Amino acid sequence: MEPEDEAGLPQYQTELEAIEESIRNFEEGRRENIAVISEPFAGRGKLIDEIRKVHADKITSVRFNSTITSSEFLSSLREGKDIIILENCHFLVRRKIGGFDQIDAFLRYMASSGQLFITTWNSFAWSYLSAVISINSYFQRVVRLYPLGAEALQSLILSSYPYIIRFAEDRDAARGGFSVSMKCIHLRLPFSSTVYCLPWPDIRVPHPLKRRKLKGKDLFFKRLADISGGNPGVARRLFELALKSSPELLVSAPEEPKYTIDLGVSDRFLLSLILTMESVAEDDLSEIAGPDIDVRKSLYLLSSSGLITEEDGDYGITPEALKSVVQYLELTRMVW
Amino acid sequence: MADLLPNTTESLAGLTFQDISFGTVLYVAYVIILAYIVVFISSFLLRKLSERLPTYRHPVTMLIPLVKIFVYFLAFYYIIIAFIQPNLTQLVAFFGLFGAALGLGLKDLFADIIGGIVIIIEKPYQIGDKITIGEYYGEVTDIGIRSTKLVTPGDSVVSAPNYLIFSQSVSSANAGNISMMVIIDLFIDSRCESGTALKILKEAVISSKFVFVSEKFPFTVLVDDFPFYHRIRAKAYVNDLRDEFEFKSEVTRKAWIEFRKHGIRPPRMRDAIPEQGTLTAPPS
Repeated sequence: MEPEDEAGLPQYQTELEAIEESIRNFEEGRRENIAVISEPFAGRGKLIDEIRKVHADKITSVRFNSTITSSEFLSSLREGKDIIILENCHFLVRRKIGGFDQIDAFLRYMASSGQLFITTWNSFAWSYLSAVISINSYFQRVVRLYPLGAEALQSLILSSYPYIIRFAEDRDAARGGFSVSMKCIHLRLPFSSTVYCLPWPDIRVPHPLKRRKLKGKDLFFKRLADISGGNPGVARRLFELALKSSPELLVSAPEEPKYTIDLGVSDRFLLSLILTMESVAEDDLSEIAGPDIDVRKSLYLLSSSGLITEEDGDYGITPEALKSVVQYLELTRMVW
Repeated sequence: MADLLPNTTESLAGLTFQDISFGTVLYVAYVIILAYIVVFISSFLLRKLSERLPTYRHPVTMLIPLVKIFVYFLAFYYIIIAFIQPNLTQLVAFFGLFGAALGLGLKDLFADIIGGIVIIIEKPYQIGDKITIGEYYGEVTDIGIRSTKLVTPGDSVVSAPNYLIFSQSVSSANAGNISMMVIIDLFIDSRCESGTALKILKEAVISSKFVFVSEKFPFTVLVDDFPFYHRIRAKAYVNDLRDEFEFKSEVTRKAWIEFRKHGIRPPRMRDAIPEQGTLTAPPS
């Protein structure tokens, strides 16, 4: 199962509208290739499913689930309809000599084709490719899936539970109140089709009267949004963990996962590869890393520290460790 | 100046000197040891903190010389007041005369201290920078009151007096950044396809685990033609300047493995040196 499939459909109305606008423009003769970018577990797949549902008759879909080593996929694009959805395009790149041939072939094809491309990318792979091969210049519309707020997470998660979940305010959590978190203000600049996220501090000061109005449920999801960094997949995972421990959810139930990460360069590099590729087999990692890195040993180290998990032979970041992993790799500048 | 000196002397005339007892000597020793311990612990903690914050390593380590200067001047002040009980005018006058004495008698040491202060304020280099000073190249590991310590690639520790900042030009490869540009030159036979070599070297650079690329830190790969060889030159920033040589080595090795697969070979010496017998001796 793909990580983002777990997330359900997030509340990404602005992003859906942006894609719809590009499709309308394409039908009127103006082509704007689209790149949908998000962190792992952020729900890219569900957003694309929504587009596919609406425009089923006009769309050809191609989904990459592992690294692509030949350009055979181009033939299905040639035979495809006017609108092509290409999911998980980060699999077109292997970070090694000769590993950029498929992305080059795809970009050449896209530049010469008259079709509209709706592509999805891992945000860290996108940043890397923008820096090294200026991939951002090929896409006229970039749609980023930004972190969700507490309310959006609440409606998203609770919609998938057919029964009522009880929330309770425990004393420890109720005592708190003052909090600072970052929220996103969507902003579209003049002459640009890209919607930007303007980070804005969300400062909440406890107020005795207002305080009483907040229910246990609201407090729970506020805390969940803080801990998960607004990532729907991570939030859902933490919610499930909390639900497992008790049928009645206390405000303090979502536990903030703590990871102490201290890795060598090679382990950091492998962790960054797993983060950017989202789901990758050991053989692919070995091929990319080359003989310099003992991949088996590094994978053991990363697995035993709980940072990655293995599923059907593929390695991915543990959802609840995502925030810590990203912070660590950004601090050590392994992801940009 | 001539007018100032009598005033200064008059100011100092009223100074009351304490008796130098065993207790005073013990106090001085205590202040010096305490200052040393404070400097040692704060330097240790700041270094540890800088390692935990790789991106802010340089700003954090630059606090070390500041702390040193502050603590040692404070210690010096406490030592002075252990011997004399000056008022503010006398203290200023004392430091004036003391500075003049230092300037005349210990001018090199004084120049080093001033050099240290200039280094901290002007920041021609910082702790953690890779610099060339005089004939030495290495990473700055400490900026002390008197000298700057460098560790060369051969792991030798070089102490360069701080006053060199006034007399010699210092080049810093990274100027306070944690990233540093690394230049990698590979030489190939002039009959080989340079376009393929260019592509291979570019991909070797951008796929390296040590590379850092952004708008501010771009990379370039260039080819230059010489009579018997092509020079393929890559310029890219290493993620952490401590990995300068590892970066160079990784890219070079990976590129050469791939060069061989594509039939790209290094220039041959015999192309550059005329074959035996072709040289004719000048007529006698």
